[in-house]
Amino acid sequence: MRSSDVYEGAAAPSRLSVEGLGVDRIEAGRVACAILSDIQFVLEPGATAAVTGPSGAGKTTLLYAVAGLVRPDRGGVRWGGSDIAAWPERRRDRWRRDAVGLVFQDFQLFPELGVVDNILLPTRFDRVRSPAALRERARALAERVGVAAVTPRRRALAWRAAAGRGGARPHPPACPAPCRRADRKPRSGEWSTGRRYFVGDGKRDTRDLADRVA
Amino acid sequence: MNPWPVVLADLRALRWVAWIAPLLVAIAVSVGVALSAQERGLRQATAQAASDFDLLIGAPGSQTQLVLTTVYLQPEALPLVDGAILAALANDPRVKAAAPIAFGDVSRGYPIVGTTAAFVTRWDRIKPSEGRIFAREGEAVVGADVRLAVGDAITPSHAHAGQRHPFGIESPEEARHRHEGVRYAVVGRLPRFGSPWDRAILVPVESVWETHGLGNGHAAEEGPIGPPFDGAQAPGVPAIVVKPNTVADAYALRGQYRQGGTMAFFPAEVLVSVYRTLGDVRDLLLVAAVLNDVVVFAAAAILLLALAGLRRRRYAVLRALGASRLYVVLTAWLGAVAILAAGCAAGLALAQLTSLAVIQLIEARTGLALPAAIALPDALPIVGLLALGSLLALMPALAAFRIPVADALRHG
Repeated sequence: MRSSDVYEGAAAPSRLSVEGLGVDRIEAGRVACAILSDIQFVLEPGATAAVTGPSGAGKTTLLYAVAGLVRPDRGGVRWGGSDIAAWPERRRDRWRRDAVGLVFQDFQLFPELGVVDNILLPTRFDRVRSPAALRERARALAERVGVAAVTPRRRALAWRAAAGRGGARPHPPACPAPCRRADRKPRSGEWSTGRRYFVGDGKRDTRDLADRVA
Repeated sequence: MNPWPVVLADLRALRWVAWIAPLLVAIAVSVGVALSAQERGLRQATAQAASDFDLLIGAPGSQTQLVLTTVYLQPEALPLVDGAILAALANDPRVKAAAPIAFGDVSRGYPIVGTTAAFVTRWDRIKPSEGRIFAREGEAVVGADVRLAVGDAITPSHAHAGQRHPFGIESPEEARHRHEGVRYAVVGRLPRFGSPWDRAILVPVESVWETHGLGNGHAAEEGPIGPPFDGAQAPGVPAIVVKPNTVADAYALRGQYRQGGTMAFFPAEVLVSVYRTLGDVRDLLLVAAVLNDVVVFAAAAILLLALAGLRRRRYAVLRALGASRLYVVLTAWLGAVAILAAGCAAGLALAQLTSLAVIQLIEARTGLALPAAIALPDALPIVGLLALGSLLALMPALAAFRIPVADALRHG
């Protein structure tokens, strides 16, 4: 099974290019400073990259900008040549749902939902029921990362569940979290065979996973 | 799009608040609904109980008291109207039937009412559910709720105005005032009226007169009971129920007997005035109840607004995972509406329970059988209230709509 199959209609893998990206910090209606300036990189489908830097360097802002959650003040993020900032909000939402997998530093799971329902949650954004086939695949994915039978409350297991939610897309995950305890989490290839690239904020273990470190 | 999994997760996350908030709404809602249901029920029951009393004739005094004593059997000493009127009414072509109503005695707490066999059958409208109607002096027919069996014998006691007797048992007070030597044999039982008459023991009016040494109202010592009564012999009675032939006759009789030492009126006249007062009180209480509801709904909306603030990060995560703004708005709004709707539904159930309890209480105290609790007109204002609540619930929903995703993800 490929986890990329979990979501139907997912966006096709495309080249991600960041061109001259700049994001400013606005305070009291004025530009206080630049958080990001002139960021440039290109990631081909299948590539893995890590972003490293000290706290406050703008790693998370970069990831949010790449995910279309922060509007760039300069430059842009292109998905297959198309500027995501120029898309209508609904298209960006759908693209995030279909093509981007986010794993948060503190996981941000819904503890009231089970692991499988957490993984399937984005499928409910545009359909009433998750088809049985998707549910079965999500269950298999959860089993694969070893969290099928738990509620996502324990931290170590929560990471796996969050990774499962993020990994249930064809091109996941953009991970703003320091990916701690890499020794205890499944290797990426095992739980996300659909992985195209990985943008993390690299501590040592994150860097280990990446093809490129910036 | 299906926001329910998240809505349910949000409700589960609320834990006890998810129970307390609807409970508060339920309590607020139930007050108004129960009040409206009780007032309507009381109207229906009192009107139903008075339906066989077309026109009442009594001695001048309080019309309200005459209705209370005659229709609702609330014991009170009433001035007597001349018995000769009975004979006059019997010969009046405008009168279909007339029956004296005489009170004064009690047995085991049940009032003994003297009247005619025709009125016992409510002018031939009903038949006894058991046994037969009395046919001679010394026989009695009991109401549906009287705990006496056909074949039982009772001795009446003199009742005192305003005194309440416990039903079903003979109080020491009652035992002291027994009319020794007078006995009634129970020969029949009436079906349920849903009125205080279900707790009455009905006897021939002649027996009541004779018990009090007033003769039998007829020229002959022995003879058939019931009308016509002898104008010269018939003693005074507290009330006469008249069934006129036509509506015009009713008004003519009412006009005629409003003078010359009598008063005549339709019980509905008294009831309408009582209902007006009751309605005013109800309106006042309902306004208070609605204000109460609005305050509780507003409080619930504020609570939900505060919750939406606390859930900024949760909603931002949904947006980051690809949920549209509409999905997040629906999630926040449906969660709020679910709490309010659950509160309203529980409020209706609570109002029903309260009403059933009050119905039992009213029936135990007065014998009036109120119709089964909540009806559509009582529940309809709740639909309006829920609509208002749903509008108020838009506040937290719009707060969720405006969440800046990246900022909320970072700072919560």
